[in-house]
Amino acid sequence: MMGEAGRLTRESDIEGKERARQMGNLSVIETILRSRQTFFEEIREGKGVGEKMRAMLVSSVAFFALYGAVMGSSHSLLQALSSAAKLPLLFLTTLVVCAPTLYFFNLNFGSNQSLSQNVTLMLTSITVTSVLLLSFAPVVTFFLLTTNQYQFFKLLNVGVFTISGLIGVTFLSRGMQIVSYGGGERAGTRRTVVWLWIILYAFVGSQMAWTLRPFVGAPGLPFELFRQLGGNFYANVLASFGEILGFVTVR
Amino acid sequence: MRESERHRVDEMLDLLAEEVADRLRTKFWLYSAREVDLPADSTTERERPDESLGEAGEPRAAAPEAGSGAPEAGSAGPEAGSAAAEAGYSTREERRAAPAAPEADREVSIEVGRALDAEPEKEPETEPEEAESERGLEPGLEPGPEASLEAGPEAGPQAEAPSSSPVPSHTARLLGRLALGLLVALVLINIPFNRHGTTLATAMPDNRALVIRNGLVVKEEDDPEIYVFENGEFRWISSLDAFQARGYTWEDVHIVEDGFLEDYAMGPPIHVLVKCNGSPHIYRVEGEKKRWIVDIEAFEAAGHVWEDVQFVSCATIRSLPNGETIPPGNGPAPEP
Repeated sequence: MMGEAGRLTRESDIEGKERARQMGNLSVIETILRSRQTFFEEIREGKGVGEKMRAMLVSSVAFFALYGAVMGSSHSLLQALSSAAKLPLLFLTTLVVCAPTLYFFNLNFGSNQSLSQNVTLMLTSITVTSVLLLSFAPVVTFFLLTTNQYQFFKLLNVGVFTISGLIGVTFLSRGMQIVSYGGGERAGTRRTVVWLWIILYAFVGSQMAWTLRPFVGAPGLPFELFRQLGGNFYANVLASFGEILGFVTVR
Repeated sequence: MRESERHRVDEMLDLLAEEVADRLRTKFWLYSAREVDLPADSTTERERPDESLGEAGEPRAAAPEAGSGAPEAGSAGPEAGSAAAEAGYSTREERRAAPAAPEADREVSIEVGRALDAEPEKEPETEPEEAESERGLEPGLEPGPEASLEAGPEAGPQAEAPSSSPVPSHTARLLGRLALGLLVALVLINIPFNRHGTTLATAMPDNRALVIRNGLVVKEEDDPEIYVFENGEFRWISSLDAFQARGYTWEDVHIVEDGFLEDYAMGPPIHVLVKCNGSPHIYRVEGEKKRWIVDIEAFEAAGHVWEDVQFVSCATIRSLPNGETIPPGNGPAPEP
């Protein structure tokens, strides 16, 4: 009897820990959104950086995957699965590509933060972006089910990514201000560096998205995991606008 | 005061204001729902002493409003609050741990004690989540601001430290539910509902959503002919054989509105050429008819190459009715 009770207690304990662990990933998001000052100060002090990175990584990958699946659903189930895998890959690869630049530039201008602290800050930005994308997902799903304009759907997603990304990098800038500047003598320069890096990040991200396309999937074409290279992201967005407005046909 | 400390204090004050507003809303809702005066030991009553205090022990502006909801129930609250404020204790726990009050204040202290003793030992964070939801509070958040308050501004970053601990909170739960709901919706809209594999997500007619690329197969609504887009022009697929020879299926065909093709250049048609063993003649299949190609010059003039020729049985060729010869006027066509 006692053994059974002990076993149940242990199971309950394990279940509780597991639940706490799962909720922990999402609680980090709440902390970022509600107590960002504290969150960034903890990063500055190096408190729980590893845990934060893990939690943000897990939650942002899950949210990106969900949003990617919504985007790909307009074409086919295969495209949905493909986009669910490719969207987290897009953001994480962009992070990996751009992280050293930010770190070494900051280092060059007097920052004393470690690479992991820099990566945590970038992950914060990505996590905020992923949460905003998730919050947009019902809207995008609504348009997915009620419109048939491929170009409109594509541009809707570009708009959603732009808004979410901008808010995300604003978080990064704010975080850098708290974590790295610290009122030092070269704080102004470092702020400029961060904004220049954000522009670089946007360019790398958009080119990465172009390389990993399709995410939505053209309705007239069979499923493709990757499309052949050629053209660029900005030209395609302009052409899509042109087609919606009736000036050109995207070929 | 440092910039960061000022931010922290501002954040704590915001959280405090939100909580007070929530509790006031809850109280008014409770009063209006019951339309009776609450007993002195009700939940709202035991919250009153705490609410009558500001962060630094000053009476809050919101307190008189709370009192106006239940005048007789609030009698102990303000007194208790002011006594605690004088003592400099801003929270329940600090007031509990306070040293014995001077003789003159003993009566007020007893009031404070009664008000506080009326509280159950369980704090809100140990209450069931449903109860917290009914009170309009955010369960996971409650420990945050209170902990901040109880620790006071001097506590520094530790005051908000619990907020980053893995505590299931309202926003986190909401995010989890949103993600789960979205996942369910995704599964539902991707379930095929007919034998063609159409799903809700792809059910919208897509004629306006076409991307014109090589390999796109289209058919105008009121025209039986099928065209394929190749290298900047649409080419007519002249027969079912040619259609099948290229590996197309009906699912590849996109119905477009009449006149859609008028905007595009038309290329040479796509034909199937057939021949059978034992016969030197080559025929071009167009629609349901076969057209005999008279000689090699005509064959080349029509732009055909030997790779286009398919070998079929002579009976199959014979079963097709004869059309006009290529070039015309060389009939009748010989049978293979």
